[in-house]
Amino acid sequence: MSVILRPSVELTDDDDLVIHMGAGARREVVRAAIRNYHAYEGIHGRAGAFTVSVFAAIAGVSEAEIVAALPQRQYGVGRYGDLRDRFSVWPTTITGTAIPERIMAVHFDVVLPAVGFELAPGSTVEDLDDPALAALDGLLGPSVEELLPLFLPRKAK
Amino acid sequence: MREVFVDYNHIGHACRFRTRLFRSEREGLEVGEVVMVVGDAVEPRQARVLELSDDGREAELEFVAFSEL
Repeated sequence: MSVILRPSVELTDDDDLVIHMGAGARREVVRAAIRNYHAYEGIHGRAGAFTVSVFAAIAGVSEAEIVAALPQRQYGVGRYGDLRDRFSVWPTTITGTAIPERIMAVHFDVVLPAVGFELAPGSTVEDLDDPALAALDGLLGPSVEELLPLFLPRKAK
Repeated sequence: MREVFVDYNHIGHACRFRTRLFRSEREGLEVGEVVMVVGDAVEPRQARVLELSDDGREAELEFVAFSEL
């Protein structure tokens, strides 16, 4: 699996973004962001990035199609215009997944700020011990808590 | 049973997939072992370890069909 940056953000303020999130979303979103960190190595010259996946209902792809393409049972919908001033949004394609190409073409990553985060040379996030992972959770958590309410109410599939 | 967390946004409906492993997930893990795959808003499911990278930090997993349980 790798992540490719598409050339431009094809979104307008009124575009709907679909996020998949369950009842324990804050914790799980942070866990996923940490897990995927190294997949973003090289994007915008970074060593990695902490991100949250969203899918835009644009280019003829509907909310229903996006929801059907993924196994999560719950999701939320937010407007791009409500989050673009607070978060960077990257147009990204994840390769090597079972997600249909047409849906992956509207995948975006919301980038979580991680000011002060630094890995020791040669180490990976997978090597962090529990206290270090807890500290990272504390660093990313507030941004996730700011992001998720933009996608409420949570909807059942 | 050992738990392995996955981000379903990076997997979709795949039956077979690769994922990175954290310390608690990979220590002592062996090919052939069955693990419990957990992720946000998806029922936990059992999966078999098909392959491990040399450093053990990445695994290929395949969901176990009910008929195999």
